[in-house]
Amino acid sequence: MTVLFDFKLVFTQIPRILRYLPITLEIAAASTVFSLIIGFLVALIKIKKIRALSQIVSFYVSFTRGTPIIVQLYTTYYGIPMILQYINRRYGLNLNVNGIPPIVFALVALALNDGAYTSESIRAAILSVEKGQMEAAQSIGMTTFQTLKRIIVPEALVVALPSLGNAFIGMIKGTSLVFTCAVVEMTAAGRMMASRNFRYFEMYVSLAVIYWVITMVVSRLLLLWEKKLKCNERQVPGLDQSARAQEMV
Amino acid sequence: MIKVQGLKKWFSSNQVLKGVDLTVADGGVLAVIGASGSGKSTLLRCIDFLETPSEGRITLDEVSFDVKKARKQDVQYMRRHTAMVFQLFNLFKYKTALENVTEGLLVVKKMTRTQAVQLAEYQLEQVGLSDRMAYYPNQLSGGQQQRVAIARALAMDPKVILLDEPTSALDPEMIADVLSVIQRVAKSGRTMILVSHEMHFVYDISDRVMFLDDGLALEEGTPQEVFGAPKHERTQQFISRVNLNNNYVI
Ligand SMILES: Nc1ncnc2c1ncn2[C@@H]1O[C@H](COP(=O)(O)OP(=O)(O)OP(=O)(O)O)[C@@H](O)[C@H]1O
Ligand SMILES: [Mg+2]
Repeated sequence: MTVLFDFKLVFTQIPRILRYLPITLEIAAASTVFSLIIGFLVALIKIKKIRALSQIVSFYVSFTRGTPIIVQLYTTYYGIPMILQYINRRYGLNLNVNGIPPIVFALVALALNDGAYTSESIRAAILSVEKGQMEAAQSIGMTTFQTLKRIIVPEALVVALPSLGNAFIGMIKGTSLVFTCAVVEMTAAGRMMASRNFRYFEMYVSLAVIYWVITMVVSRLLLLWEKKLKCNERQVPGLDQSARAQEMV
Repeated sequence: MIKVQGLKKWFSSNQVLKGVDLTVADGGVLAVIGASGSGKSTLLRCIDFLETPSEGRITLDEVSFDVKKARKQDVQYMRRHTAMVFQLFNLFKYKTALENVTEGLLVVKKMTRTQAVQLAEYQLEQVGLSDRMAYYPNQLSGGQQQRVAIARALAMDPKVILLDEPTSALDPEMIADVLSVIQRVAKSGRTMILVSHEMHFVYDISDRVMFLDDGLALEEGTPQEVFGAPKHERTQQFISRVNLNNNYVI
């Protein structure tokens, strides 16, 4: 009789699954980069209250937040080819509808989904930067762009990093859904492997272990980064805290 | 020389400046006094274009323009050649004292890092902070922060330095240090427009005093004239009130 739960297999098959780790991380990283760009633009549009665009981005945010990610993945997967076909018919073009690499659908859906969430944290973070920081920069002659780049964004990043970090971790886990777009990353590869020996349970346990370790490592790195950004909370150079407290009195 | 003519400023329908004229010669120190809400901060902020003035004319050395037709380069010219010292210091939070001073030198003046650091170190020494260069703002006392802010402003070598109540957010025991730094800056021949409630200090440091009342420069003269023999009733009231409050005799 075969064993009920093949404990060893949980670990021995991990290396085979890990061959798909790069694709998982690539999807997560690329979608996060695009989602940050989308989120930043949406945040700026909302902060600057750009009339026409504000309405559009509000709709985008509310629609994206109000629909499940899996539905969004499917709509992207079926929707993009349909839009291309429409363009082909309408303008008499001959765009290759079937030639789109599946990963494109995954990236579009994940980035659009995540961008709606990160836009809110980015907006809140930018608004949390004191007005005086901007004025100080302007009063010494820095341009708006220089101020944004060198003062506002770095300060906003300190505030936004915890929630952006969570979004990135969510994104890593979210990649496990992109099989819906015919992309083979870790989870999809695992399912295929398991379909050969019917050890589905072992496979999902292996996947759980891998995702857990990855998110642990990533959150540790994010904490380190956060600490580095909060440079002003480090100890005063050449003075211990008690001496400093005395001095402040 | 800086010259402001007929400066007006509305915040929507609320007129805060009602046609202010002022001239400060090179090396001159103009003090602006007046009650809370009379428009002192707004006046300084309009000169630095932190607020957009509604009407009037501004002349700073060879550049002169109507504020209604101010082009981007006029605004940039004013910001580059004036520097503001704020009531609440406004130091860059995540930059050390040294980095606060080098920032404008690197980004606006395009100095090399070596040049910028050298100049910043010199400016911080001048305000007595050579041992605090690597400190972040939250690791400095209010008085130290304000002195960094003054060093940051001076490092830009502005034609005019604008100070908006630089000591009013400080604990009493820190005020003297900051005032003596400002005094030295004035003596060094830097053109200055100062808003302050420290009347004794204003009397000592300025060569002209302007009394701003409800958006109008009601009276202007030497400190001796304005404090000793104020012409307008409202100036008299204001002077007598602050004298009583501050409990000192000129
Ligand atoms: N951004 C703004 N929007 C609308 N009204 C403003 C704004 N800034 C200032 N005001 C108004 O302009 C008037 C003058 O303000 P200002 O800050 O210039 O006075 P002040 O003389 O500096 O007073 P204080 O001594 O209290 O600092 C006040 O009535 C204030 O409410
Ligand atoms: Mg004020």
